[in-house]
Amino acid sequence: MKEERFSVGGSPLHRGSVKLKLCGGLLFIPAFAITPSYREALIFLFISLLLTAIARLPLKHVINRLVLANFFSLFLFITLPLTYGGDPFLIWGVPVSKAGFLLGGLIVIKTNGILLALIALLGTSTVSSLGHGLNALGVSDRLTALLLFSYRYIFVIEQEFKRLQRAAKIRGFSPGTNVHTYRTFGYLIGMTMVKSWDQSQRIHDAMVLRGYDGQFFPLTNPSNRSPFDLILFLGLVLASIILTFLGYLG
Amino acid sequence: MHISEGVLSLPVLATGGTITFFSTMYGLKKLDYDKIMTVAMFSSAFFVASFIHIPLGPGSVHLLLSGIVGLILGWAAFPAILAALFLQALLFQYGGLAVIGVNTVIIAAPAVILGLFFRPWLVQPGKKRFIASGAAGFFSIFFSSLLMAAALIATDAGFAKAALLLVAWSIPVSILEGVITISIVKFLATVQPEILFFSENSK
Repeated sequence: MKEERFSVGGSPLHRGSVKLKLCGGLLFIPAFAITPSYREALIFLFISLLLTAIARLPLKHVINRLVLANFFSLFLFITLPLTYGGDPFLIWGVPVSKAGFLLGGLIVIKTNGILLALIALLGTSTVSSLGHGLNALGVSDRLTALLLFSYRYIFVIEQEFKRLQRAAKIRGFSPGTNVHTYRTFGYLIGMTMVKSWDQSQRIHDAMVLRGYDGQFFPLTNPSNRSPFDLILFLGLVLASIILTFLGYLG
Repeated sequence: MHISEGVLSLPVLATGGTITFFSTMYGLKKLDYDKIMTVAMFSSAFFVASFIHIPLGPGSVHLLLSGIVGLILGWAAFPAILAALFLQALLFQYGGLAVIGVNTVIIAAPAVILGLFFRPWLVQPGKKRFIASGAAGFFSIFFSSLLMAAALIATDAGFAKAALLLVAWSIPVSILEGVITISIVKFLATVQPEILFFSENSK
């Protein structure tokens, strides 16, 4: 599991203020998502590509991520032209719905554009700084704590599960489509839960011992706002508003 | 079980966002600080489940585990699943930010409702526990696929056939999830039953 792959780098987006990136992203991404037409979607896509270039993201990894994340939109892109109905045209003798084809294409553009913006804006920060940024923007202490602790446990649980899975494999467990396999997986997951449960109690005790009462005190200095951050933020806000208006009225 | 970005319309996204907002607030209100660590643990278990590939016929599917999360956490499953989906969007670009509200409702709403409905049976040993865990595992996935289809059809009636394909595909996955949920609960009941009683002593 390769996590936070994009959070390391020296681009202006990596150094930028998390709060402004979050605010800009939380406006830009929904605006992109609800664009009804190709013209605005392509401008949004162009901005996303620009952000990706500014963030100087490793292209190979970005493409890998996009390929994995595209299963759902690809499913729609394949099924919609065949099932959407409306005006058909023929490809190799198969009637294909024009409206379905166009809608599928728009969805593919939006999915990929939004993911690029998501990686460039939020992927360039670490989860912990995003957690504290969300907290500063008004997300409750409890939800922030839940988010940060979940993040912390992912690796613990994943390692624990992999360890048990390896042990099962060494003992000759070969998964197949049968009840024995499913029962074994159930027990492996159950065992992972038992171990993680015990560990979560220990971590909780350790934190209470150190004075944890539900509040976090981030050790990083949050006030590193540069002119670039403000320009980026205003640019995202303006682009979102103008393109949304154009999309719905123009 | 994630709808990707750019598929749904504004009213659907807004409805999902609103339901998630209020349900999460309610779920957090019922959750005291002592429990956050454990809820976070289930949240990451849910996250990791999407990397566990289980063989099914010629291919494999990944688990969701929302049934067991709902059974054990009750209302707290809403914030737990929201947190996990946020991390999945951030770290692996599964789902996304604008659709996170809808995706949370799709996965968490059936989990919470089935959890509240079947929990009285979960804490009783024997046949009732078996039925509760199997039904929660099966129906959590099946209802999620129905909600997913509803979100797609509400966006555009042209999605209807594609949505039906998704529901049909979810049936074998639901059966698998039901069988696995039964074994997890059976295991927990034998090894560490207090996990099953998690929500009972939180009042």
